[in-house]
Amino acid sequence: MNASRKTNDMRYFRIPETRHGTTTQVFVVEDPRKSDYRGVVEEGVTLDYDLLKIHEWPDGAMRPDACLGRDPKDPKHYQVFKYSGDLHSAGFEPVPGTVFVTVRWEDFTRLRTPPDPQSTTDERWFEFLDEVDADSRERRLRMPEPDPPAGASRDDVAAWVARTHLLTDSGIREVWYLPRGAPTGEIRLLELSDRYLQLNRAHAIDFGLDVEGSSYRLLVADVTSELLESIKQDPSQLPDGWTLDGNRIWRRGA
Amino acid sequence: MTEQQRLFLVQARSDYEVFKFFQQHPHYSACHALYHLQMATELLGKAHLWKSGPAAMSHSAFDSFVATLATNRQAQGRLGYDGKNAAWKMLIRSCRPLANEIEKLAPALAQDGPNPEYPWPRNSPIYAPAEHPFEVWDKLRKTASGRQFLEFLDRLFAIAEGFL
Repeated sequence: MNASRKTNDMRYFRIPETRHGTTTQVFVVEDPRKSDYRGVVEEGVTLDYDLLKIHEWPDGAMRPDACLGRDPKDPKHYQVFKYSGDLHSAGFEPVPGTVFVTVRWEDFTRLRTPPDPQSTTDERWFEFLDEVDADSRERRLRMPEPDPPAGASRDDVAAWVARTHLLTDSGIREVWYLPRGAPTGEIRLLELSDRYLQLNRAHAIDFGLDVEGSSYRLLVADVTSELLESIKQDPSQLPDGWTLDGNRIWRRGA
Repeated sequence: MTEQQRLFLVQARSDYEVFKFFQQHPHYSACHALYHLQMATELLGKAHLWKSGPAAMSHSAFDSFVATLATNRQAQGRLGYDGKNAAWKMLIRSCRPLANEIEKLAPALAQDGPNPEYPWPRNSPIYAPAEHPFEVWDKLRKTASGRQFLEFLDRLFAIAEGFL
């Protein structure tokens, strides 16, 4: 609920929340750090936000374009203006983002509840997966690069590629390394993900790989749980020459 | 397929072959693979557009082409999705974000952002494509959706005469 109100003395915690390139200025009454929030918090701020006045749009009037400003004479004081022109006339500094006012940080995060996969539309479900991917990507960019391979041997490099792929794609749950029968310079990986549909056969994509001064041919085939179970019964669905025998499996967190 | 479509498809396939070469030879900078992938896919999109006359000079042809595949029954059938409308639409939907990212690699569409051809920003360059770690290249190689997209492209190029 974006139940904002005009306030005089009430003190808020301000959280500038940026997600997928969109910023929301969240003003909450209770300290979000008590809810394990670990991001940027500005505490002790005041907010002047007359919800009805700002969003009222009489016939013939310009459409409201609510914008947040900070008082340069009192940097802890914020005000929402109906138009940017009003903000500049008042001498306030513009603050980017949409304003959201509530009591607890959880009120805001609850809006991100995942859709029900059984009842939601395909479009909403894909949007949700896109959001998960974008969040994963943003998180990964803040993480240090994975350590280099323990060595340049095929097994070491395969383990490193598996770890890298598990880190890069949150949808991949297992990576199966299938060295049996593979030529010396070839790494064969079967990657399990249920996020994307597949055809009825595992198709290997051929990549080159230069790591630690050694070159390998990297072949990666993606499968769903259903296809993997089917392959266990009928290995002919694997790419030509591949076998599940002698495999090594890496799982997320393992 | 008209003669103009054939010409565009021939050129697209030639660029795609070069892309595949760079895909398998990673010691070259990612920009070279991406340059040929962007060109190949743009030309494929234009081969489709030429079905109804001259294609516009814009670089925006591939993403909209992928979108049209959702209702292209010939492509759906030839790629093994006969009678699987929902799965086909989901496949197309899942390919669109990458199609869009690759289309926007064209310098004219990338504006002052990363592109595989010229240093940027235009007026005062501070980045060179050959030194840039393109995020889309990581997505194509290291994610299931990226590899599914590449497989989809492989198959589109292989059977293009059947549905263009």
